[in-house]
Amino acid sequence: MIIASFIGLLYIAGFYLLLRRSLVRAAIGALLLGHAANLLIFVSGGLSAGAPIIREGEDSLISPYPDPLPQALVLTAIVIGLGVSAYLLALIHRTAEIAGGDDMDDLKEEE
Amino acid sequence: MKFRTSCYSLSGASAVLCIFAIWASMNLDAPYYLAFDWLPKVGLRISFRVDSFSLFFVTLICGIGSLVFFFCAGYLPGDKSRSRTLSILLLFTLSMLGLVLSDNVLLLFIFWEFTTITSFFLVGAKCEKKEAREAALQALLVTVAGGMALLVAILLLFMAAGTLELSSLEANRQLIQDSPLYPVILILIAAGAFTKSAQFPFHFWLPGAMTAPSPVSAFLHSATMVKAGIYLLARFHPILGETVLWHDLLIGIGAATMIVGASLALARTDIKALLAYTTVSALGMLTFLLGLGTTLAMKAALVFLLVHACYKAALFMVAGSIEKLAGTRDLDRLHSLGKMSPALWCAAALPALSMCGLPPMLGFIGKELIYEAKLIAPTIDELFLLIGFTANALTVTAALLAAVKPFIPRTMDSPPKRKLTLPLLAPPIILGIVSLACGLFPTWVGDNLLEPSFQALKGEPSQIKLKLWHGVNPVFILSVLTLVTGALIYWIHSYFARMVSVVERWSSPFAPERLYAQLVKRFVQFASLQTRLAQNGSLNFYLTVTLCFASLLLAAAFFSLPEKAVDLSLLIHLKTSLIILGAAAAAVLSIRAQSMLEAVLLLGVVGLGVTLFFVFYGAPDLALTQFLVELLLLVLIASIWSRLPAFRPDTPKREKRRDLFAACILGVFLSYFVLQAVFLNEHNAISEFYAQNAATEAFGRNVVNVILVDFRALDTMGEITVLAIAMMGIMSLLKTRKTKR
Amino acid sequence: MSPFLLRTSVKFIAPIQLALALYFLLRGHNEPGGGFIGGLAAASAVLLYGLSFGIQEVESKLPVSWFSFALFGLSLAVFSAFISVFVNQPFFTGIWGPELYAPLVGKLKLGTVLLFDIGVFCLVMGFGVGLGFTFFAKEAER
Repeated sequence: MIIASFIGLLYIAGFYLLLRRSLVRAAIGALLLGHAANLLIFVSGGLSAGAPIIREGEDSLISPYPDPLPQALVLTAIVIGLGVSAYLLALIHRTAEIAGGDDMDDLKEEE
Repeated sequence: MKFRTSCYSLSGASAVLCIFAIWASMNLDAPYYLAFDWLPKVGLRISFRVDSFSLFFVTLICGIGSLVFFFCAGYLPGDKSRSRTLSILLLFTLSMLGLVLSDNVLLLFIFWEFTTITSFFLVGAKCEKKEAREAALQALLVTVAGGMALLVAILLLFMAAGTLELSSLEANRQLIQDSPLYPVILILIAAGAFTKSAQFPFHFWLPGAMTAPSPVSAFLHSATMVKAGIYLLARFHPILGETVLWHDLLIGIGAATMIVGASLALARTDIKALLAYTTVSALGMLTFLLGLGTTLAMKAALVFLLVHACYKAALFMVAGSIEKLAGTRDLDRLHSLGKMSPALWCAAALPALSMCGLPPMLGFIGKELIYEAKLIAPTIDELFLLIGFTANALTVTAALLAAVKPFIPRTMDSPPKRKLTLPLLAPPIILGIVSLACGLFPTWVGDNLLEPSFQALKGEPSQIKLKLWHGVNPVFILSVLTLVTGALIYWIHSYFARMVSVVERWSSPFAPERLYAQLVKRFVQFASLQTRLAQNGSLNFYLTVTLCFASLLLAAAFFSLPEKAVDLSLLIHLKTSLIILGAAAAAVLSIRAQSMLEAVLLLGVVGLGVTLFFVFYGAPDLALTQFLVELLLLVLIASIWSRLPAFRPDTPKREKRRDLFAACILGVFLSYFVLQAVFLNEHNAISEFYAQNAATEAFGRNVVNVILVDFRALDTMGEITVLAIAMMGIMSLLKTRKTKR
Repeated sequence: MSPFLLRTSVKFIAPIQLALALYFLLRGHNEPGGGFIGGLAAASAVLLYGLSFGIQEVESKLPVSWFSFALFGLSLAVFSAFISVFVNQPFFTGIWGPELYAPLVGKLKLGTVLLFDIGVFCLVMGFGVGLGFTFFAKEAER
């Protein structure tokens, strides 16, 4: 329940910030959304303690074990998220350099 | 020189193919099939059927094609886009051959569309001119609309008969004609054929397409592409034909096209436009004959196909040569060309004789057969006979206008003689000689080319011998009358033309080309209106719409999913709850963050919370990755800290509240979704497989990493490629020079 | 923190960090770790070093640009995927070599999959360091 509301909260904050006119806020919103989505995928695999690592001498995972598939998906998602955030940073920087601000609606009018 | 060489070699190749087709047609006993599977699931096979009817068309295409390529060598040099035109012409020839040879209807459709597309480029060859582009677009839109109708018809046919092979469709004839879909299929197929073959009321694209270079007109708009519709109707005659609907539809449209085309032709002063309208009329005649569907009518249609291809292609080429010679195609300004180039007059006169239907040309035989077919047809009204007669007479006038008027002198001064190059003269003369030879030896042509193709089409011999001289009978008298009337109209043609243009002006609000223009205009208006509504350029607007829609979807899922027992006590330890609460608080605060520092710090807290979450729920790999990513991101942000824009006061309150509301709705739904997801925690089969086989097959005990680098390595590869691309993007963003506006 | 203290400590810490990164990479198949984590760790090590000693210092030690380094990683990964094609196996089939016993890491089985992981490592490391340095350079421009 707590986890669910936490993820929901992350989504709310993320979406709200994404809707701001300020590019920086929108970027932070995107990062929060990234967290939320990662957690959502992770949680959908079920929660359990332990690690998806096969013990020495065994042939397969011993139940109960955490689902390894969402973990693999989320791992790539995190790294991609890094790439996206770095790109956003560069973009914000460049926008500020050229247009001197980060208000998207202003940018639109300057087209 | 190189260009000419390629023209000559193409011409030679087509000529060889043409001769081969004639030879094959003479020696072919049964159809020859060739098939490969392509997409068996949708019934698409690459299947070809070579029978005599196809071969007849191959002969036409290759024969005319050979001469057209030859003509290109004289006409196209000096044109900037000549190589492009020639290669597209070759592509067109190939698709046309594919069209007449394919057995699978879907394959036929694909070739059909190929001819449409290539013809678009050919009509628009002089793309620097606005009217050429517009004409090309018009031809494309009209024929593509017909093509769509054809596609629907094909799908319906498949529903009705369960097969797409022409050969087996013929066997299922009864099944198709009894099906309730039959009228729809017939009308749609007819729509496809009518647009392609420029039947009324779709005829207007053909005269428009006269902006194409003359060789293209000679090829596409007389002998081949416009005949594709006729080919389609002829092919479907054994399948769909001989019903009342078929009969009425084709005869009605055919007759209307005949008379409209022939009368409009006389009001034109551009030779090519005049020829185009007579082509429309001739195509109407062919449709009419196919609509009659009697043995005699079908045979007459075949003969007329050959006749028309020969004379019309020749006259189009002559029009091109005239343009080269005199620099204009305007009939009012052309005169005395006969003195300038007697050879050209000869080249124009032979096909024109065939067009008028004078003995001993093949055109005479064709016209006799047509009249005979009309006279003895059981179900035909006198009205149609009259229409046919008028159209024929007007065609005679048009022939005289094209082949006599520009050549006779109107003033006394005699212009200097000019020589035309061989490629500009030879092809029309050859075609004229072919018409003459066929007229002199009709039996040979009839027995070796026309009769086999008739048999292939109808499955039975026609018992009709082609003869030049039938004796004096009603048919002959009609022929003579036609000629005399035609000549009389030529005498008074300027009055007639004025009359036609008056009628045309009076009816112009209802003209099909007007309707077409209106339709296109309205469509463009609608498109721009819709674009203005849907794409107003505000990111906020787009996102809000997307969010609302996502909420709707989730709400739908919310109410349709079965309720699950939710166990609230699951796995919540005190320390995890504390971490989560901390991170949640950070997330909430980040909404209200007023400075960059604040925002980044809060973001860090959230990231840390997520990391610890991973630690407690059995994902050490994730925790490590998340931690390092947070670290790196922090470094990156710190490194361009002073370059980031300052935080500024945000948007008005009302807007904020609206956005918050939208975000909240979606967030609540998503929370519920998560709750459902957590309790779905049976491991699925895929995870099970990975868990079982990681150690034994991939020799790794860290299942997550094994999935990453072995089981799903292709995904990982895609991902690292994305990273590399992102890196390239960032580098180019940051390393470009500062450009202040 | 004074630059001197920073530099001295970094001189010790960065190599250890790099070694740790390699360790993460190599043991990744059996314990938590792998190319991504190793790459990120290595990147942060180099970034730290670059922050304290200056970018030129680091860049002069490496003969190629970080961007090429990342691309090298990508090509290595692609190459490893194609190895199996040469021995008539489907694309991406793991080909395994002998098992080694490496000190500290434990049992280590050589194979194309390890090569793939090393490719990922190089790419992620090149990505992180390259970006960090580009950002630094931008900052230093002023």
